[in-house]
Amino acid sequence: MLKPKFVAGGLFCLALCYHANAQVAPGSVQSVTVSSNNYTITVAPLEGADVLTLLRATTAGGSYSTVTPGAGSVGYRLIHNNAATQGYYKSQITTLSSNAVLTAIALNRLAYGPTPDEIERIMGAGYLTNSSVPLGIGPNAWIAEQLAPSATDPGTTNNTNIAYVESRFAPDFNTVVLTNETSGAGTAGLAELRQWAILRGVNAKYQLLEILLQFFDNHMTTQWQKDNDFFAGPYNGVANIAGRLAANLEVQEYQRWRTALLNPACTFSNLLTISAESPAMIVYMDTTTSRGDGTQVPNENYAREFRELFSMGVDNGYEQDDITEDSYNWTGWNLRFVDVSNAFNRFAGDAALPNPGGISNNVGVWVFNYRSDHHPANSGASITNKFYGVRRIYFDRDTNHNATTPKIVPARFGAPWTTKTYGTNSTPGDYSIVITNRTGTNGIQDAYKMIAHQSTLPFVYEYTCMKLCRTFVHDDFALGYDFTDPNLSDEGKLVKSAMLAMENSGGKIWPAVSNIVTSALFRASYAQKVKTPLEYSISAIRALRGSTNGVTGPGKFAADTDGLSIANAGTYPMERMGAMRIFDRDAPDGWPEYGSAWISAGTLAERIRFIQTYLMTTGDTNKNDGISGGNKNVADPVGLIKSRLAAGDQGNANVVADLFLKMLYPGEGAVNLAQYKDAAVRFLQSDQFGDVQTSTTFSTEASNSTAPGSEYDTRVRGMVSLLMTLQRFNEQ
Amino acid sequence: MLTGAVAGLGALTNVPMVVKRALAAGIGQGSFAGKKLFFLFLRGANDGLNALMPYGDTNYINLSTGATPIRPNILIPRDALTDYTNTHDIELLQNPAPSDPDDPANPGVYTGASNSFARGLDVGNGFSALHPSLKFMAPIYKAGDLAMVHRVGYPKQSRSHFDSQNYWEIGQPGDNVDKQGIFFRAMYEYLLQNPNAGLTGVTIQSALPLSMRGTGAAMTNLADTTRYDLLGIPHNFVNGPSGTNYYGDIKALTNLAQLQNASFPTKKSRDLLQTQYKNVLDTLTVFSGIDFTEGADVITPPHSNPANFVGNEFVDDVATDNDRPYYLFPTTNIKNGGWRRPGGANQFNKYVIPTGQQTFMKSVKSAALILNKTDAIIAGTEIGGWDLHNNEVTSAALTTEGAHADLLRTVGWIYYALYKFFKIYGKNGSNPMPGAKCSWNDVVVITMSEFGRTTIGNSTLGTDHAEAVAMFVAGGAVHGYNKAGNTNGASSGVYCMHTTAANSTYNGNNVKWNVGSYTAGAQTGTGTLFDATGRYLQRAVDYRSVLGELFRDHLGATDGTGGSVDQLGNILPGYTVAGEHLKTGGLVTTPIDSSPTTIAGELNLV
Repeated sequence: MLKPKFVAGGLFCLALCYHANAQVAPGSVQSVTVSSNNYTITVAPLEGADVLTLLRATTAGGSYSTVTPGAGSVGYRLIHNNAATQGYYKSQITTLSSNAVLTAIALNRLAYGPTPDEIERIMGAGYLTNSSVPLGIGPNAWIAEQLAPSATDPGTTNNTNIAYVESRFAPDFNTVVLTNETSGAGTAGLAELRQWAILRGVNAKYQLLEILLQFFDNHMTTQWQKDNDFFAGPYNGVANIAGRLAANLEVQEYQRWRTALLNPACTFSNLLTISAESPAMIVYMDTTTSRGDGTQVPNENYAREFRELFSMGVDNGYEQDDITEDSYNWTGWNLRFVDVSNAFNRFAGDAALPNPGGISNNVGVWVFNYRSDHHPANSGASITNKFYGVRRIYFDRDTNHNATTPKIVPARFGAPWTTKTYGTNSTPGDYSIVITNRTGTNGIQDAYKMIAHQSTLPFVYEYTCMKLCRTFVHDDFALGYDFTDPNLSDEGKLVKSAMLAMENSGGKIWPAVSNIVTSALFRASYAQKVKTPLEYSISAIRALRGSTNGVTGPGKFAADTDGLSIANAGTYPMERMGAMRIFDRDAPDGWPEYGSAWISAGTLAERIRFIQTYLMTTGDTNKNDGISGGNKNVADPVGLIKSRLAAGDQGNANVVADLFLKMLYPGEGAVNLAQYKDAAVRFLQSDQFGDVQTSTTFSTEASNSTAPGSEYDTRVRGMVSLLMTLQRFNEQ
Repeated sequence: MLTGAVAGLGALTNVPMVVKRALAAGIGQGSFAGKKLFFLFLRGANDGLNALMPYGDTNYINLSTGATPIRPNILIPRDALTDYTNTHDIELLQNPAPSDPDDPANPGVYTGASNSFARGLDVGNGFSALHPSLKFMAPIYKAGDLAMVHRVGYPKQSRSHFDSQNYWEIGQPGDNVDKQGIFFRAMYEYLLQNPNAGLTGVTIQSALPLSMRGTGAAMTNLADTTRYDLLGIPHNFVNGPSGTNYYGDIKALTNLAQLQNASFPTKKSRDLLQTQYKNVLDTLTVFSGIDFTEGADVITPPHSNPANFVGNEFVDDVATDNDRPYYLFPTTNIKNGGWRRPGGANQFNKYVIPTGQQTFMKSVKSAALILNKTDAIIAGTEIGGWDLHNNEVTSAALTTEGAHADLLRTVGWIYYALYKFFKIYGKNGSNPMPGAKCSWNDVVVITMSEFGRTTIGNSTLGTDHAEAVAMFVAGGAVHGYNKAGNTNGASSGVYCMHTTAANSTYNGNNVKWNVGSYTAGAQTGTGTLFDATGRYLQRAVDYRSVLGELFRDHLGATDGTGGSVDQLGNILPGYTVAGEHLKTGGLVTTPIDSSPTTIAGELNLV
């Protein structure tokens, strides 16, 4: 049950006063205008406002009585007709319960949006129809469930489409399968990889795990196309194989992260190591061809982004010379085709590549491999060249770029980061590291030493936690807070507390996430963010994906997608909504989290078209809208009505509008949604020409026919489409 | 594509006035009315040293010394027969005249390759050369309408793509807080555009770039102009009352428009959504009046009668590359240069851009059409893929082919296409489109790119992040080669790329190119190529000086002189800081820069 919260309006406004644009407290009377004894009272909008009552007194200090708003009153605009005298008005607002708002926040941030069934599971009463599943577990229990995901997810294991796609992934460290088959291990390409991510996003019970996987895949991003280009050389002329190998590199990386995150003890170091060792990353950042032997100059791509994008944040604790020297540590990290028996041997030599024209060869595996001949060749301590010998990272420099004194953790971090020691350094706060070049196969340790050191730095905790806060709370978090400032902002405090959760747990991820999503700032962040195209499209499916046969899990749902109709490898909605090509971002900074990067006229028009075509019947000739392979995003809003409303209510436009408003916007409150509802009711009461006066009523249409394509069905689809194409559905 | 929703909207009487038209006239002020800017952002950092090569620097080429050049694996070869130190006209690297009738179906038409040149193109200033893939810039340069500005950067240059792109796009180096784009500020805050206009600036790309973002008003980004329309449920419902055609989209759009005034509590994202929804509704009508379609895919389009233009029928008015007139916007194979021979055969080396860029060319075409057909002042797009740490060239033996060459080829053709589009189809053009609003003299085309790349090539046939980059500035009013008003050294169209003080002094500041020394394997050197921290090409001119001059002298921003409002100083705050020396140049010292650097100031580009 919703627990009402009573809020009294804070401003008392004399009927004849006019507060144009007055800045008043939310929920208070903002203005009163009069025309021929008819008063129009405007109230300032308030978060979660569910019931608005207008009160009036005829004298200052007199008793207030309830006013029944007249015709034309909608939401915060109330009309008091034929008032005989001047008076004082004030408002009373009942808001949604804090649990209702938290439910909306949690389902929008820790999941890819609410589903009708999840709203019921958290906020409903009694038991699920025909089952012993209790409803109303409350948002805190739901959040706790998400913070402890299980490897067995009933939402995905029961989905045959997900199982089919996963059957097409090649097992990790498996041999190369040179095949043009359309099913079986090793046949998944980019399209299937995207389809899989979408389907998991729609179906998974442990939604937060899926969100975190996308977060880290985005944080340490790689690009399918770069892998594909890499394989196009050795497999030139063999159809599909390069793309499939490329997709499998992405899958392997993703699944290793999944395995890591399913462990409550998962650390940032675990994730960074998986990323660094990932062949997809080694190819993406050009490490595989980078050399430091002889007078070769390594490329700086990975050494830069390892800091700027994947761990520390731009200019946060490092300088160009750190990049230049570190670039030598990574030389030799390579993607190589080796014999199957050498899949776990980092130092194995090349196996013979398969015949480019051959299909049936099954002779090896592409894995992370170390080439000592690409690494500086001399024992570091014996030579003076800083690149080939002793590399000093996180030092101050002289004008010749030579290291002078170690860098110290800036005072803004405060304890414990300024007072602890790092690595083998003895001075508190000294976070420098000296890597003496190793030769032979030992050279691989140079980079591992860098990873291990990097994962302990406060800059890394700061950047990781700051980005998690941006993802889960709102966009306006930044690097560079003075954590010692007694007036530190709430945002800075939250980043610091999440950093401490990491620090005190030895760098674990889940304690930091838990710290953020159980914070007061998180609970106060309703609708502060904008959905990315990924979030928008999955949330649209989920918003109407309610069970229509009374059971959750496998059953009949009122909405569905094949995944490909959202994100395929051709023309598809996520491409059109801002070219969000998941698993194939060309720039290494990952997809933007902030709304301004995604919202423009063109992308909004595409979001609207996506919803409109999704709500069209499968028989509508415009439904396809150029989507490669056809549009399999389908919805049956009438099915939701029939499974949730009594027969007598199914023709009641008010009840039908309320049903969908509460599904789509469970944290907004009825007063805030009043204008939406007003339009929705008018929409249901009018035919395609939009004229309520000349149209048959909604209840008449309900009694005529509710079949797909009927006038009733068309009006419901159009109304739901209208509600989902408005601004509010872009928010999370 | 124009469809019912938009066409029908005007007939409804109960739709709020959400759809506005761009102003019919009066944009800009006085003589600046109708002036426009087209920008092309090269994301990923263009290797300026391989786009506009310093062949006069012996460390770059090392032909005379025999030492290892700084870029042994990616060096663009120079022509042994060409004296690049000679000052003369630019080399027009076109195919030769059709002396070889090798196409039996069309005798007299030359079928030689359009893009297979293996040497730098001599620009005639005695020092520099263009990458051969930029050969279609040559006619613009020859006409005096192209300025090539090298060594462009800003103080305390960031080598982060994302920070540096931000600094370029907000016009404020080092500022990670301001989220107002430079073009947004120019248009809205400081009123170069009437704020009530429905359309001020447009980008055609996947997302609205930072340069166009701001608060309180929305600038427009379109991804696919042919799909910019809304649908309804059902869509295209016909047979309404009295034989009128009705559409479900009218009902949907009407309700959508009416709900724009709905009251909600304030949230961080709501202003953004409100302004951009308004922008959608404001601009649907504007764009519905432009034909963005592709038109027939024929070798020789019927382009003689402008009243009959259908889709992409814009072609050159001369025999392009001494072949037949090419399509200006090569969006398909058939429209891509001379690939499809008149006899029906295909010739792959006569593409003018890589086929992979043909879709992108639709964006360029859309932006050009919008500048020509609406009152939008700024239009732009972006092209990515420049971050070439790896495989910038095909191989050490074939450095004029590969990823960088392909990108440059696209840029070179875009410049040529815009040059000819506005010269032919623009206002006062030789064959103007109906309602054309923009002439070649009205528009300036610029490239932007966040930084240049390392002077020394790396082991992976590429280059890494560095500092100064090159900019290309074109337009009928640009002070290019031998143009009246050109005050550049030797009346050259190449700026900041001469070795004598006489040719390198701007506003009294000598920024000549110094030839230093370099030893292979050291990662450092001396001279201009290494002036930034001993490693990178250092700036001689600030990007804000280039843009500032264009804002003031081309688009009409006032700068506070004569009691005027200092619009320029608000658009580019650095102009109000004396130590920045953005207008008249000078020595930029700490703390503005990390080490003292002399910059040219403005270059008198327009």
